[in-house]
Amino acid sequence: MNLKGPQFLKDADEEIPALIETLLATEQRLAELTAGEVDTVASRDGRTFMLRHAQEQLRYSEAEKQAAILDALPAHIALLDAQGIILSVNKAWHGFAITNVFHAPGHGIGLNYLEVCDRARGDFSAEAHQVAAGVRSVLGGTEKSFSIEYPCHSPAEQRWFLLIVTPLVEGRRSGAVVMHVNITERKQAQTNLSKSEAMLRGIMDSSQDCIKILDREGYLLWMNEGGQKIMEIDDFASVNRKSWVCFWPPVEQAAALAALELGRNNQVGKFTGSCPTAKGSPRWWEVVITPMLNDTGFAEKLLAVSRDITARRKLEEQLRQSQKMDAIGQLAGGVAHDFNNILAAIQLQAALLKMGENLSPEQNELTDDIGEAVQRAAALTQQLLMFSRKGVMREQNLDLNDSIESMLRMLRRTIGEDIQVQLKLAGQPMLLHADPGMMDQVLLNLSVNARDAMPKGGQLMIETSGVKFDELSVAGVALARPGSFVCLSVSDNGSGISPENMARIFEPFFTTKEVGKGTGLGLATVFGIVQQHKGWISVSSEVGQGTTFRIYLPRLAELSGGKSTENTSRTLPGGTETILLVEDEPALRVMVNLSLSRLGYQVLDAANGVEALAVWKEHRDEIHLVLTDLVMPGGMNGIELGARLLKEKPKLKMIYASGYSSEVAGKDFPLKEGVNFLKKPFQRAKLAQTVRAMLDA
Amino acid sequence: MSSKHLFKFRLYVAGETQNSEQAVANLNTLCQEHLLNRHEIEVVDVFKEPKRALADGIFMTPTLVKLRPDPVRKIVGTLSQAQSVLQALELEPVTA
Repeated sequence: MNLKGPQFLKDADEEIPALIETLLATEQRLAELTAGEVDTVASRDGRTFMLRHAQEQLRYSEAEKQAAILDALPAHIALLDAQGIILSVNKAWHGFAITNVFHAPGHGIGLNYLEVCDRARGDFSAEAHQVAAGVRSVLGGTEKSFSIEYPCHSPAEQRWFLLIVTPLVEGRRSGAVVMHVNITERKQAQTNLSKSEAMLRGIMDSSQDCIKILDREGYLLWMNEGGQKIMEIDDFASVNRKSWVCFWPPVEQAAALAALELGRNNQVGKFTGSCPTAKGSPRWWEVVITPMLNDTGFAEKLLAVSRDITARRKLEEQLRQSQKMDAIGQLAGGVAHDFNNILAAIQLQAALLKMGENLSPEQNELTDDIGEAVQRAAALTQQLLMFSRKGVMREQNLDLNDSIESMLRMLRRTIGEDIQVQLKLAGQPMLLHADPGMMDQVLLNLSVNARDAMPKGGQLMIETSGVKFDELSVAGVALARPGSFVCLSVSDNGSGISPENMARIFEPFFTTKEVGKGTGLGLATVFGIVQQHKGWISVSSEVGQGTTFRIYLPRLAELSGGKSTENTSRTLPGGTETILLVEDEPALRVMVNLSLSRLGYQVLDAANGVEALAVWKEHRDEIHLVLTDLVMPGGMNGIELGARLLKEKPKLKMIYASGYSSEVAGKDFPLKEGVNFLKKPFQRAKLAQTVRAMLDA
Repeated sequence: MSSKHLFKFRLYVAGETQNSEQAVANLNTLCQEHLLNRHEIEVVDVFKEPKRALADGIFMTPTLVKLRPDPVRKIVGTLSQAQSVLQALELEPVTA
């Protein structure tokens, strides 16, 4: 072929089609010769020609690959030109465009991305404006790339996207690729995670337990905020990375170490121990150590949870104490009951012996001694019965303030002049449904106790007040319960009670007084009475400072109680006559004196027969009635005294009292209960009725 | 001939054209199956190094040149007829 020269131009119209024919034929022939397995051929001078099928295949495969990659990407991708006009989008963009502003023919191709963002109004317009600024900075070349996470919520669903803008430089043309990646799942997982983390942290921090994470060696790594509060730790850094076992007092460290060891061996370690807080407050803890296993089941860390059981232990201690008192009460009650019967028999035999007239003066005295000793023993068993709550209760509505005021004169006499008595009674009536005699007994015993704690004198303060307890305020007191209560408080500034003794003060026969000075039944009796009245006692004492007993008794509502004390008193028969009371037991003498005085009688009292005779001498004409104990020390019993007085004044009314049955005086001496005999312990009403009936007889 | 010799090949290709890529793949498979650990392949792209093709007298791609062992042989095509290729390389006797 010769393509050179002017002939080419001249004959181009004819020659070019002919040459193409030749080219096609040549290519056809080359393909045939190489069986389609050759892509290029070269001339002898090394010029390479690519065969047509190879050219086409190469062109398509490149475009297809790129399109396939772009379409396979889940991101919504758009190619922008330098002005921000969308030139091309991938397949994922199509779906994306349907749901938003790019929903337009051609999936938004031809729209200006920047303008779309600029026009955004509403909920997420702020983010759209940020995006526009970001795209501009990339297109302008001031930023190499730009990315932002933004929400794109619809009423139907919540979505988040990550937008990435990267510059695109191709020859002289420039633009950018914008990618929207849906990160909703990641965002939701993040939100859920942070929610659950916040919840967990909330639980941990508000927990009333001290929760710690320790490393395998037992060094502290973490502690919840609630725990730091409980442990009174102001600055966690001060304890961080320190050995947890070393926080415990030496005596507890073995238990702590053992629990730690169990945790290390993938077991659960538990123990209870006492350990003060960082500020030294004493606390009891229940500790559980559990292993925190890693993926291979190795106890990498340990979880230590300490629960403050101080209050619970205190409560348990109180309960144990009250159970102990219950047990002692049952025992004492049982013994006292049987013992009373034995005493009655001894008393009876002694009285019978004495009736016989053939006793020598010495034998007579010995018999009196027996009677006297039995009397003392009987008084003790009586108190024991009171302690064991087996005393007979005669309840009525009364105002504790009134009871205290009417006791006051006698109290002052009993406790002596060295002690100043102060009253601080509540302004309103302190109404109770209680046995008035027992209430007097409580006040008397507490006062006598206070007196004995102040041998050199001091102050005795008696207070009453109304208190209300709710569920919360009773939580720390075993016997307390919610409701309205009257609080009787008796305080002294005496010697106080030592902590060792405190646990035992209500036990019968427990006394710190010298031998012979106290029976050890005073507080036991108070305890029994208070329990019988469904109340409880709290004691606070400091050695050398004094003691306060607070007695809580259920308070009657004003309306149901009213001024019933007077009503009840009015129902008891009284009088103005003069009565000589002979009783050797001082406490009982005081009580009976008080009861009779309250009923209106003039009361003279004496501690034994001899004293009684002296009083008689002075007041013989005034005395209408003599109430005497049957068996008394001092050489003259009740029967003998009665006989002497009746001889002088046959019309004198006599009532005999004894802890034993009326038969104690023998067949010849007729005693009839409720007529001329009062069996101790007797109730106020029984006393009033018997006295009145005898006077009226 | 001995099958213990090291086989040295030079394969002339033209960019990423279909037949060239096919030839590279087929040659690799063949060497893996028959010449494991005793072959070297050099791929020469005629678009990048046209002068080497000229020097080796290569006028078509893909073309495989067996440089060693002697004698030098040239095989044009995608090397998809394994049997013929092995015979040409004298790795298998020619059958009827």
